[in-house]
Amino acid sequence: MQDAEQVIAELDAILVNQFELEAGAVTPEARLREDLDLDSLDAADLLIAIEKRFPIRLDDEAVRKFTTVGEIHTYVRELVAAANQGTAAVG
Amino acid sequence: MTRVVVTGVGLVTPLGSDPDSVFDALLAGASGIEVIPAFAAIEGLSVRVGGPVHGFEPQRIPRKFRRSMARMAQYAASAAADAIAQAQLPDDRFGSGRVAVVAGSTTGSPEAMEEFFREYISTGSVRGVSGTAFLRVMSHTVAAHLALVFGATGPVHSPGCACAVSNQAVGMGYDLLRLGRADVALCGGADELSLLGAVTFDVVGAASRGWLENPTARPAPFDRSRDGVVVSEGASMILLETLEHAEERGATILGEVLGYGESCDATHMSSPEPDGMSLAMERALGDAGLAPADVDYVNAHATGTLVGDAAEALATHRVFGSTIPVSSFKGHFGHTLAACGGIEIAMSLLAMKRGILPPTRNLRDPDVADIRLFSEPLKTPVHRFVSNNFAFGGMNVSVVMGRFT
Repeated sequence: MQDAEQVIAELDAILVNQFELEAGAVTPEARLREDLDLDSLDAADLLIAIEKRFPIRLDDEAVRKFTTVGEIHTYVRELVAAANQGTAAVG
Repeated sequence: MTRVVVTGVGLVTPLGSDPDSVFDALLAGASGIEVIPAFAAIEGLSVRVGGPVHGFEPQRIPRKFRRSMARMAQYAASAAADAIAQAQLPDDRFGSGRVAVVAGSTTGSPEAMEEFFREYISTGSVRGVSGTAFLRVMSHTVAAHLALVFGATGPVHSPGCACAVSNQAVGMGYDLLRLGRADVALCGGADELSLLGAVTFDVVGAASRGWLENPTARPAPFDRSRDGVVVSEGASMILLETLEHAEERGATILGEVLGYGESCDATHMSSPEPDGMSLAMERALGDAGLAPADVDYVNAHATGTLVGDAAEALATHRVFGSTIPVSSFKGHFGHTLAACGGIEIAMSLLAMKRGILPPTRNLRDPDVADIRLFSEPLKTPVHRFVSNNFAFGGMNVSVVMGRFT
């Protein structure tokens, strides 16, 4: 089980490592296209990296519509929380 | 007739990337062949040695380009950057629509293919397949990425005739410039050391097997002991310009393309025919308006296979007789596949400049038709040379180059 802060830290690490970004540039307000120079090809690889790291399945359309790092944080954090709740309920 | 000249060359090879240093290594008898530990772990593969590139720095290429570039395309871009730098071709020419790219590889990236199918076969799903996988697998991955990296907006062609790719690229670039379709052509090929390459030659009995104790003794082109190809990797780029374009900007000219010839055996997919090989050489000489005696050196394809080297020597003897020096560089580099022709042209241009020919490494006891082979560096004036490449499918390609006068 991962708390929200841990999920966000790991998402930021994925962005930094996968796309060779400066850690300081990856802020919730940072715009994916304008500030970080990420495009649709990068979005496809971001989806794969996130699904490999967390036990969740992302909606392709939702990922393509992200415009800021903060939106990724919120979306993934909620999916991970839901997955954790499901695990807890089963457990 | 439009004259076409060489103003830049760029290389990535198992013996380094600086053309002058690589040429010195050839003269010193260096080998780029070593044991490839990963090969030993593969059931059914008898190949144990290869020629890897060391010290390559992919970070030289910005991530936005590199993300969809397999190693072969990265090698090609690095070689191209060096060729462009040597030619001192200004950046503003690339967007003019008059800079062509003619470059290829044996196949799209085998590494990318493995990655794709490993994911699919192991999971039964394509969910984890990268958005850039096809961009590394596609057959024109090298040419398309070169155009992207350098912003070249002219014609982009991707010859795919395996081991003859880069010489064919030079010939196609030569034709594009002669036809007036471009002023500059970046021509060459690249390949990455892969299981696919090693297996391909192994299963048809054309690969050198074993040699764990003495990897640099292979391959042995034209030698009685030859036992097959040693697969390696690299890239080569030859920058061609129309003479008018080169002179207008005051470029230093390294040599002139004088002729190009090609043919297809059309008899067998893997067993070569001397008739087709000699036809390509004759056509290249005819295109150049030269007689065989006008040529001072023949750079052979000779990869170290029993049948291929014998056929090539016979074809070379038929065209050039027994007095014109002939050597192959596969004994030094191994077989860099799509990259080999351009590497050999770059080295032959330096041989012409310096007046000394690197010999065939690992050649001690020739057992092929009577051609003038040699085992030590040979000092001799070179005004014109022929570079030969041949490939599966019966592909035969010959290029004639000479001093610019």
